[in-house]
Order: sequence, then structure tokens, then C-alpha cells
Amino acid sequence: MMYIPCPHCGHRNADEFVYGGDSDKRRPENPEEVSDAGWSDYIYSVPNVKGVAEEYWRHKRGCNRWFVIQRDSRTDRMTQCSGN
Amino acid sequence: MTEEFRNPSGGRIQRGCPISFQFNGRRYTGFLGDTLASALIANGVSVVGRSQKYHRPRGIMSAGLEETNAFVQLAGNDDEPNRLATTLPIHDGLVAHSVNATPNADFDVASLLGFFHRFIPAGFYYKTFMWPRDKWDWYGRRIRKIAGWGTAPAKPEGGRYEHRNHHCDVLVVGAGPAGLSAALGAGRSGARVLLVDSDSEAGGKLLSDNLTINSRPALEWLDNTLTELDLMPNVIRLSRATATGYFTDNYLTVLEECPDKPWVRERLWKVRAKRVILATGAIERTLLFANNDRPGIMLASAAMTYCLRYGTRPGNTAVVFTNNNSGYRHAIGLVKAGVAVTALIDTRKDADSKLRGDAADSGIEVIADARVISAKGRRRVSGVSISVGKDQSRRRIRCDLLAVSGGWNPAIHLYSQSGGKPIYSERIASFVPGESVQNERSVGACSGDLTLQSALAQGAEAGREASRLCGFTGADVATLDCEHEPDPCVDPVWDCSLPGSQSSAFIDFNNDVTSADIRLAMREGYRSVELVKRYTTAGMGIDQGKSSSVSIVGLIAEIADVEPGSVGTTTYRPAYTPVSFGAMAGPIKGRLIVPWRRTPMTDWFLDNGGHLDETGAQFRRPLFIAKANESASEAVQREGLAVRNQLGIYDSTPLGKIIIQGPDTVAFLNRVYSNNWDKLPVGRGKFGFMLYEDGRLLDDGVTMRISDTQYLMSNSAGMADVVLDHLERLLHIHWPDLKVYLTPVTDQWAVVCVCGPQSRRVLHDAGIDIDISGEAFKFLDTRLCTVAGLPARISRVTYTGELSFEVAVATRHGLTLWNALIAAGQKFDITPVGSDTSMLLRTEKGFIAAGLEGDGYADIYDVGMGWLVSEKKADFVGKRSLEKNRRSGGKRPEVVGLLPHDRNFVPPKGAPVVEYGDDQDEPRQMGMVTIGFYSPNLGGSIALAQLRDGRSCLGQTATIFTNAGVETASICEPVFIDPDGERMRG
Repeated sequence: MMYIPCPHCGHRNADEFVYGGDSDKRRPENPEEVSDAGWSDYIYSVPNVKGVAEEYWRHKRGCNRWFVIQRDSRTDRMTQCSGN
Repeated sequence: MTEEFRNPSGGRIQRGCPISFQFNGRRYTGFLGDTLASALIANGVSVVGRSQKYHRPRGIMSAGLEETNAFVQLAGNDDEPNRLATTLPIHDGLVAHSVNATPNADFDVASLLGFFHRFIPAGFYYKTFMWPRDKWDWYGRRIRKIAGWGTAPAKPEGGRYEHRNHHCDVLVVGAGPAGLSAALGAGRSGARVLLVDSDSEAGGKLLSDNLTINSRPALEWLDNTLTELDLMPNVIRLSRATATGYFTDNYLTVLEECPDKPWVRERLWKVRAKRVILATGAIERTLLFANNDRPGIMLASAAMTYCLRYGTRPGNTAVVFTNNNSGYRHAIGLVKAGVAVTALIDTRKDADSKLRGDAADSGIEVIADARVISAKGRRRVSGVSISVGKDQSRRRIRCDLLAVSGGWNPAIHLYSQSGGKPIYSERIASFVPGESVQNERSVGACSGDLTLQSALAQGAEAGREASRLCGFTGADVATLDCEHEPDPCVDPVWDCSLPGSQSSAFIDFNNDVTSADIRLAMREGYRSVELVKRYTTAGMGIDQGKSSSVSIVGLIAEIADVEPGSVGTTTYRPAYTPVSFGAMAGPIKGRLIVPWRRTPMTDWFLDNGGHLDETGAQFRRPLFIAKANESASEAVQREGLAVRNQLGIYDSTPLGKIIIQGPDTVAFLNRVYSNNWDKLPVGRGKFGFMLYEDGRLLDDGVTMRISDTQYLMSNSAGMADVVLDHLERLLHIHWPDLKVYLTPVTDQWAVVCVCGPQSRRVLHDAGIDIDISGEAFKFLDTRLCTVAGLPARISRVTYTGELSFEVAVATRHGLTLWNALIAAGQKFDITPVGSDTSMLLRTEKGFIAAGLEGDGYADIYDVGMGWLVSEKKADFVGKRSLEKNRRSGGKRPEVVGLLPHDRNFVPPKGAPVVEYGDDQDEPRQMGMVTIGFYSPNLGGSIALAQLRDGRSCLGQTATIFTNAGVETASICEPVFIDPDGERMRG
């Protein structure tokens, strides 16, 4: 089982965490100014990067915090990025 | 029975402890320390099972977990299919049977199939049974009957299984010479070491060979090493513990069988190790020749094991067939153990002269440049035909044991599971580990280095290195001297059977795959090992190719005339050995699979006729509370009438509750709810709808402002966790600038709801210290107060459309409150109601429910709640998608009511509602019934439905299809009682 480096708790088993999608996806500040196509893209498109992606993860069965982490989708190697 | 094949002395069995057991209905005896296989060999039993496809008689092939023939079914208390006789310890009262044999292994009627096997070639199932399609069931039943592997136990498993998490510095897999030496090297430095071995006894090949270390018997070194390791507090050593899987980040599963411990049957260790040392040894492979599966043909190393470790003779007159140097050592070992070895057949022309000399000194005739082309005998091998030299002269030799050594396959399964890519080694004609991908290292035979000397040296070095990398200063392990062992010098012959031979040379004994099958698959165009394997099923049996996979690659390479390295290996996947379902589940079974959440009232319901079921968020709640001799529907009707006419009491504890506080709470509520939250005064609540960002309904509920800074949000029971996750995510990710804090308090408060015309009076009678008259305490008001002497919060909310009060007290007071209200309500005939009744009551009012009308497609307008969308707000979650979806137009599924014309017909949930176009024969579905009830308060049936463009069909007639026939109903507004809400507001 994968280890995930939680910025608050350290390395923990992956089954304590919940995946939260790609972190490039920021909710637009003013949704009404976004075009229909742009909004559909925000809601439905998943980048599915082959390589290093920045992702949201939540340590649900631990500190319960969301954080951003870099994961290489080819190797699952994770490098710690930031918590908030 | 006497054990006529047991030597008078020798072996590691305890001759003072005889054991009686049964195999295929006959009684035998063995000794403590025997496996079932060794005890059967001692008793001269040669046929132990039948093969899967052709039902050929099969005997014991190996002495370990690579066994492909000797599967047995255990009966009685042990009831279990497919245990390996070669690893199964015997105990008094053991009852075992062969699998796959009718009536028994000695005489199996289905073996007639063997005569037809030319007609069951590779890919048989793909080529046959293509038609007729409707005969598949018939074929399936027939085939399964003859191709079974054991019988699933009929009774529930009684044994106890455990899971154990373990962290260590160094995990050593395998307690042979390399593994022991590694454990010593790491253990002496102080590192935390876990040493696991699948065998019942540590020692590996030291137990079944006459080896020496520093000129003393190797068993002395073994005893000293085990004593030292067992005294180290930082070392844990497990026997009968197989590392079954190697997963990401050095996470391994180890299955420990505990036959000596009555309190636990198997224990699954989940190990996280900083460093892993793989010392899993090597598995000997057989050679291919006609009838190479006859009982009495076994691996040379296994024959040695049965002699030296168990004090038996697997035969009286043996022939050894080898393509490498280890066959010589084993031939001489067999002679020393009392087996007459008449001939050693070597495929190579010029074997090591010293070895040849040693063999000759033991009275063994060495026949070089020769091959066994077929074995004679049926239920036991009686002799071999060999072909010698360039002129291929034939010769026959009698024997009752044929010991085969086809070279050694390093057990690279765990390395492969760790993500590593094995590479082909010409030196041993097999695959060895390539580069490490994880923090692991392979040592000893599993690294491809087969001598004892290098096993000890590599092990010690790896142990020191691993502990150093974990921050321990490595301790010294003395260099040890072992006798010289020549390199194996394997001659890579993959198939010795004659071309066009009518007899089968088996490559996979498990699945009855022959070399001819592989050739056929190749002729039909298959080249990739993965495809050949799947087409022929070679290497796909219970043993998962432990014995066959390298030979399959070798044979493919030989036929295609390429290097085996270029064919590549298949990927080995977990588990290395079969893992029982019991071990996987561990203690998580029965009630622990989904632990029920309880409220303070759960026991009261159980004692008072409550029919409990899961109704969301793992809460067990009563669907209804039946009186004696009352049916489910009778109970629901009685409860429904009571609420509308008198008084009901309901346990609302499972509803989700979240405290929201912080300076930005109003801004937050405005963003997550569709309506406006700017002006909610303290002590008031408001109904709100929450949407997903894509516009779908998430949940609805009332949020109360309970102080200047605090809000209490309620959620549907089943959605409480989802809503909390949704809100947390928004705060953490999208709006980290908002100062808002969420605290789930569902379990902190017990909530009792009294509903019905008498609910105000019951609160008065139970004792309440505030004015709850209609003028002083309006609908959606909330106050702190004392009810029945308990500090409480009272709120006027309703899920039934009746006058209704929710009283929340600390969870520990929940049952006291409940009992006080029940007692005070006796004179109003207070009626406890369940959630089925609650559904009936909300249907009468047309209140929608997430998961029924809010089905993941409907939006807030479709369910008739468009009035809750604030047009003033620039943004809330879901607004942008809602606008976009609405603009795209189209007919929406809208919630409407149905009044069936037959007032006793209750539309079933999910029933299609259809309309007829111009063509009266072609009904078109316009939606479905979402819920239906017989309403006792209306004296007739009612339903809610989602219909396409339903609001424009009000007043029309709908047609409902059911299994029983076609019914009609009027389409109406989705509210059947008190459309103006006077009851709930009164």
C-alpha cells in the first residue's frame, strides 16, 4: 500500500486519505463571466496528466486536512507540496 | 498398515509420536513432523490425485509449496479444499481425500477422457461450444462436474483469523542459509528484524542435503544461528509464514498459519519495512518427456528431502535424469539414503569429471549425452526409455523412482511484484532479478547464485548493509567456509519427447497442458508469452506457474528459435500462495463488516416491537413499531393515522447536525445554499437547498441561527457525511480566506420529535419552562429551555407536515427524555412511529426526498423548489451550471402527484409511467413512480412521480405499467393534505 506524506502527520497509509482531484482546477472567482464551454471544462474535464500532477488530497482518517501534493502518475511517487 | 518405505532411522520426524490419519478412506500412520505427503510416501501410496482435464493418475512431485499434483480435500473439522499435501502437517484424526476423482484416485472413471485427449487441444473451449448459444448452460454443467477442484466447505468457518500491522527496519523473507545469515547480520546491529519462512522449520536446503559449514555439519550452524536469533529481543522469527504479496512502498503481506495455536488459525501480517531482503531460494524444474507426469516421477531435490528430512524412501530403485550438475549431488545423496540408483542420465556430453567419478564410486552408471524420451507404467513409473548419443540408440531401464533435475528457477515472484523486471541468465538458463525498484535486495539462490558459500556471504553482507541504511552500525558476521559446489552448468533442453509422439509431455501439470499444446498455439500464430499462456492455460492453475513458467518461456523460445530472454516473462502477481478468505477478512466479519450506529433509543425499539433496518449513515432505525400480530403495512397505517389525528413520537437523532461558526458564516451560507441568508435573526431557522457545483441536488434541510455567531445546520441522515465533506472541501480548497469553522455534532445530541395535533399538550404535561403557544413560538423558531427537567433545545420544524416539535438534549439524556414524553403522552395514546411511516406522511405532503425525487438528474426547479433560488445573489455553488442547463431547454423530469383511479392500487416505486402518442399501440415512457402509499388519512392510494414535462400534464391521465397489469391515475399537484400548511404553522 502506498505511503502518502501528509504535511501535518507524516507518512501514512494511502487508505487513510481521500483523493480530491487536480489542484489546477481553481473555482473561477466570477462564474457568471466564464463562457459555457469554459464552465463545462471546469466541471467535467479531467486533465489526467501523464507525469507530475498537482493534486488535492485529504487526510480523512487522520488530521482531516486538505493539502496539495505532487504525484507522478507514472510511478505514484509523491513529493510533499503544501498544506494550508 | 506398516510404513514399508520408512527408513529405520534418520530424518527430523519424532518417531516417539506416531500419528494416525485417513487418506481416501484408508487408515495410515505417520509421525509428528511428517507432512501428509511424506507420510503417504512412507506408506507406499503413489497415486494421490487425478489431473484436472484428462484425469490421469498423479503422484507427489515436490516437497514444498510448488506442488502441482497433490491437492487434497480435508474433511471433518478441517473442512477445506485444495490443501497441498506437501505442506500440510499431519495430526491425529486428519481425514483427507484426493480432489478431482470419482469414485477415487485409484480408479477414476473420467480417466477415459485421457484416451480422447487428442481431441481436447489448446484453445478447445474457444473452438468448440460456439453454438448453439442456448446449450451453454448444459455444457457448463457437464464441464464443471468433471473439471472440479475440491468442494467448498458447507458450514461457516469456525476458526479465528487475525490481522496484525507490523513495522520493522529489515524484513527478511526466507530462512534458508542466505536469509538466516542476513537476519544475523541485521540483528546483531540492533535493527528491528522480522524473519519469515513458509516452512514449518527454518533451514531451507540445509534440512535436505548433507552440507558442511566450516567442516562441521551445516545443521550445527543452523542450530547455533537459530538459538542466537531467538535470543535477540529485536528479532521476530516466524515459521509457516509465507510472504504472499509485495506492494508499493515496501508494504508486504505475510500469511502465518498457526496449527499449534488453538486460539487462532491464521494470522495476516501487514508489514511495512524500511528494507526488504529477499532470500526466497530457488525452485527446481522438471523436464519434458512423454508421460513425465507418472506417479513415482519427482524432482530430484524433493526425493532428497523425503529421504533426509522425513526418513523415507520415495522409491527402491531409482533413475536420475538431469541436465545440470546438481543432479549428481542428489543421485549420490539418494544412494547414501538407501535408494539404489541404477543410472544417472545426463543430457550433456561432458559433465564435470570429478562429479562423474564420485557418481561411479557410489555405484551409479552415468549415461552422458542421453535423454529420457518416455516413462513407462501407469499408476507408478516402472521404467524409462532413453535415447543415447548422436545415433539416438534406444535403451530401457527399470525403476520405481525417476528423480528429475531440470535446473533451478530463482523464486523471483516477490521481486517481480515489487515492480522489478527480471532478466534472463544464460548461466542458469532461468530468470534472475534485475535492478531493484524498491528498497529491497535479493540474496542467495533467488538472486541466481546457487551455492551455499555465496548464500551465506551475500546474506551477511545484505543484512549488514540493510541495517546500516536504517542507521545502525553493522556488526561483524564471520566469513564461513563451505565445501566446493560446482556451477550448475545447465544444458537448456526444454522438450525431450520425440516429435510426433502420441504420448503427452506435460509442461503444466496443474492445468494438464502439454508441450504439444504450446506447439499448436504457436502454429496457430501465437507468439507472445502472455497470449500463449492464456490460450493454452499453461501456468494459470493453482500453482500460478511456480513450476512451469520458465519452461513455458524456454519452450516458446526453442520453437520460435529465439533467445528466452527476448520472449520475456509474464508478470507475477500477488498472492504467491493461495490466501484463504478467512485470512483476508480477519476479524472483519458478521456485525463488524458494517458496524451499526446506535441512538439512545435503539434498545427501546428492539424491546418494543421495532422493525430495525439500515436507513442511511449506518444508523439502524425502526421502519415501524409493530404491535403483537400486526403486519408491516398495518403498523404503518396505524402510525400514520395517529400522527395526523393524535400524537406521534419519532427518534430524529440520526439526522445530521453541523455547528457552523466564525465571522464569515453568513457569507458562507449564501455561497453554499441557493437562497438568501442575510437576515436570519437569532432563534429562527430557515429551509435551504444545497446543490453540487454541476447543479444537481445535494441535500435539503433547516439551518437555525442559535446565537449571534453560531448556526446549526441539519442534514438528511444519509447525507450528513457527504455534506460535511462537501463543505470542508469548499472551505479548505476554494475559499481558504473565509473564517468559518465546522463541527459535526450528530452524535452529541439526541433528538426526539413529537408530532401531531396533541404535541404541544404533551410537552406541557411533560414539563416545559417556556411559552410554546402558536403566537410565542412560531414555525421555524428555536429556543433553549428545560423539558422534563432536562436542559434542551426546542425547535419547530416538521418532516410530516403536522404541528411538530423537535427536542434536542445531550445524548446521555436521550432515553430519559424519550421515556418522559412516552409517559406524559399515554393519555393521548402517544404512538411511536418509524421511518416508513415518516415516508408515508411526507408523501401525503409532497415533501421530496434526496435519492428518490432528487435522483442525481433532477434539478431544484424540477422538484418544485425553484422558489428557493435567490435571483439577487451573484453566485452560489451550482448557480452557473443551473443557468446553463436551464438555457439548453428540453423537457425536464418534473415532480407531480398521482391519484390512482383504483383507490386500492398502490403504484410501486420505480413503475414506468407511459403516454400514448398518435399510434395507440406504441406507449412511450414519460417517467416513473418515485414512491407510492395507501394513505389511511385519505382512504385511498397516492403516489409521487417524476414525469417528463409533468407540470404541463396536470389534470391529465397517466398510465402506469406494473407486473400485474396496466393502471391509470390522474396527474395532480404533488400535495394531498393541507396544501396551505396550516397544520404545521398552526
